[in-house]
Amino acid sequence: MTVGSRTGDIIVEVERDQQRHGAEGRAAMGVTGETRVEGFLRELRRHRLGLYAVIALGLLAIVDQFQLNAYVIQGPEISRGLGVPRGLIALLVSLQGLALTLAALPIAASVEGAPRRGLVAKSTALVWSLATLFTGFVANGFGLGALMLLDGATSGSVIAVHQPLLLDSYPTSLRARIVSIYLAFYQAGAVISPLFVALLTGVFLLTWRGVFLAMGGTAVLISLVGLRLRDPGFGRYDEQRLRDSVRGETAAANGGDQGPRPEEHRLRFFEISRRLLMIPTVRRVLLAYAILGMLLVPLNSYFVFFLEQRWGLPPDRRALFFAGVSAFSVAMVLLFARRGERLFRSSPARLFRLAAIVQFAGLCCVGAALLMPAFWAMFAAFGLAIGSFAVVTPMVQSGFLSIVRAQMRPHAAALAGVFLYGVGGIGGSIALGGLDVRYGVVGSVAAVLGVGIFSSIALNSARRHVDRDLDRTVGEVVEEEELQALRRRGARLPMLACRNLDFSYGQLQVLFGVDFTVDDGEMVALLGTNGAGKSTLLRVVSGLGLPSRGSVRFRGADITYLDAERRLPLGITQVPGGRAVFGPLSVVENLRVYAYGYGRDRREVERGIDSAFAAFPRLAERRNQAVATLSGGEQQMLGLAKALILKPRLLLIDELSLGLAPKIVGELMATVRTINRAGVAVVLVEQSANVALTLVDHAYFMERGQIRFDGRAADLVQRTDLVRSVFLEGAGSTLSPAPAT
Amino acid sequence: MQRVRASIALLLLVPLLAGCGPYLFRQSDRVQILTPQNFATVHQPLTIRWQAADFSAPHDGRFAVFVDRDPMSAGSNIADYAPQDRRGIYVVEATSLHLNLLTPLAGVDPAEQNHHDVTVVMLDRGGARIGEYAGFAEFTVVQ
Repeated sequence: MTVGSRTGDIIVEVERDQQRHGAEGRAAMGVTGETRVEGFLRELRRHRLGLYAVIALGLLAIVDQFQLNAYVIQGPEISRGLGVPRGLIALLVSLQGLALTLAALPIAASVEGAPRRGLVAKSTALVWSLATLFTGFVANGFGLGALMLLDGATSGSVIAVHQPLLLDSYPTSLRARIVSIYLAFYQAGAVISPLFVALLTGVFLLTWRGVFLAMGGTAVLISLVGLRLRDPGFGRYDEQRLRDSVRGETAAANGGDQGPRPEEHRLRFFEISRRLLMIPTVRRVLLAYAILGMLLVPLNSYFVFFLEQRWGLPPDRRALFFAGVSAFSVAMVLLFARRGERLFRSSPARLFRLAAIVQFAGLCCVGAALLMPAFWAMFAAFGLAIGSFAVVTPMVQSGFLSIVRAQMRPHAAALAGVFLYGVGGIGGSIALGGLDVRYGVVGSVAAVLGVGIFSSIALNSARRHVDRDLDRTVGEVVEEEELQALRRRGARLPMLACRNLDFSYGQLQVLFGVDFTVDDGEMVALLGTNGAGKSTLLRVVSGLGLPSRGSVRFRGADITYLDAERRLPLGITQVPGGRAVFGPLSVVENLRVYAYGYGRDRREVERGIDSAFAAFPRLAERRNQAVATLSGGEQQMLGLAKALILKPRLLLIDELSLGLAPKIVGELMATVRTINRAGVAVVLVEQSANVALTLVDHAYFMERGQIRFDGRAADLVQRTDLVRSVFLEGAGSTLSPAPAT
Repeated sequence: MQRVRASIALLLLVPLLAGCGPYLFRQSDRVQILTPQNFATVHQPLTIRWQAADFSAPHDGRFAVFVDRDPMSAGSNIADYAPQDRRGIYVVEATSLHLNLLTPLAGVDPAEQNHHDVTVVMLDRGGARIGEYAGFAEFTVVQ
């Protein structure tokens, strides 16, 4: 970048602050680098916190399992009692699982705007508890199905809300241990629920209806324990701490004045999901979960047959076997909690590596369990296996959720559920179903284990990205606060500020750390050779492409991951390269398409079209002519008319002059200058420097995806080493940059 | 506010979905299968015997025996079954049923093909199932 460039002033300052806050930011996010872990209770006392949140959510996670356990265990009795086919009973279990998985997504969406996770957690718990209770009164298969689906849908909150809420309820120094304790509760549910059913049927001699009634009543009472659950706010112990730390410094410099924040453009559900899927660690963890789901769901089914055929266990003994295995898991999760905490604090990358190793060890234990000659040895091996898988979850979840912005954690958790139970579980059942018929039970389990190894590989690969992704999250928070501080200091923020942008088409990276700014009412040229990344940069600004790193800010507000259609109302409009028109439509139809941004205001649309025709009388003459029959220059005029209709604040024009006669180019450029004089900022992308530099006073030059020049257009003209490739032969000597507009 | 109201309305619908009826919440041995015993291994031909408390056929009604199929729900009428759908259903007045041959079940795991079950319920004189009382036994037939 050219020294003294205008872009550098703001961006270099922000980058310098980010580096300064890097280590501090990591510590705020919980990664202190220390290996010493304070005692759990001492740490709780230090922060004046109790165990209420983790116990309340843990109890809700236990009672959440009542309905499904009671249903599965008593399936034959329900079938006989209601006179519904056994196939329907099995189908409802699958549908309940599907509802649980899919409902996590809208539940995540319901909490994205405001911190109401506590409310969602307790209200859904009350609904699923009532659904369990009323299952005791169902009269037919429809009622049963409706209640099962209701239970599944409300249970989605366990996936989407519980862990993000816990992360914000306790300081980062307790993060891995709190998640472990919560997941130990969850595992305990798998022990308690079947035992509760056995108690109610075996000792209290209740029918299936009585069991649902008793379990539902218990669930309602326990869910009342959660009534005091409150949402502490997003990122209370990490992001907020980091903000306070950055703000503290800057506020001190400004006498404590926080000043107004720029208008925020809150990301919506799909924008958040897409943004999450662009984070390398998230992608790898989701892949690992999907493969783990393929392994775990069929594994339990196949192992039931293995227990029956190889060890001759009847149903009640099999239930006891799985309850024992779950108890094993509870113990292992609690034992690993402190070690997980230490690893998380010292290095999340090591946490992921250990998770991959433990998971692989679990796979080996399943293999060993198949070969054990004695029952108790088999039980121990299988218990160790399932315990290992249970241990992996808190390790991965604490690391995985920590690298995601606090407001996006419900979405990340919901996506994890979708990949584990939906993609993995259902996909695995389809892909691996029927294996036992072909290869027998042992062969099927062995095949499933083979698949599981890829999950460990995916987890292990996440460790290479987790530190960078954590730094990126820290960087985003610091940037927001620093820009706010700059605002308070009266610094003038550019209209558009792109910082450190990376962009890839699949595996092919085309932008490398691009910094680019445009001021209000300014016209800048973006020059470069063919394939330098100019059009890609415009796509990133207009939202047609999303960067893998860096930020795009419009008037100080972050729009990096905002959908393209939401950038249009902000005033960002792009005239794409080539012919920005719809060939089969007429001229006036094309203009109506451009006026889409006006919505249903027909008068405004007609006014816009009239202004376009006034600016380009030649288009008015051809208003009903098919656009494909227009000349190249007329088609570009039509493309430019978009700017007149949409009245943007920032107009991005890509290769307007391409393939046109100089006279036509001159006419079009005159129009661009008129648009700019009306106060619209313009970014003019051109391969041909002698066209662009006649209009602008500030220019950027790109080469191989990087900004090689950022400065006055007049200075660029002198840089023959750069611009030789983009000048038309013999034209350079005639160049004279236009005065600033 | 509208969402809250809709949620409350949905919550109130839950009991309606559940319905109401003559439900059994505690296990009852009003109808008990005497032979074969649950999880027994038996030879063919076999006789299923049962007993019912406070019910005498044909005075109070009859028994419906469901072999390898689920019974109808409480209150449903045996006449609701179409004639071609009555395979495995026996309506008797006695407290026993003699079966000459139980064929291996089709479409199940080979190890489960000789695993059968039987459910006995009480019908009133109109043919409707009385409550949710049922006798049930699972057994394996040696071919």
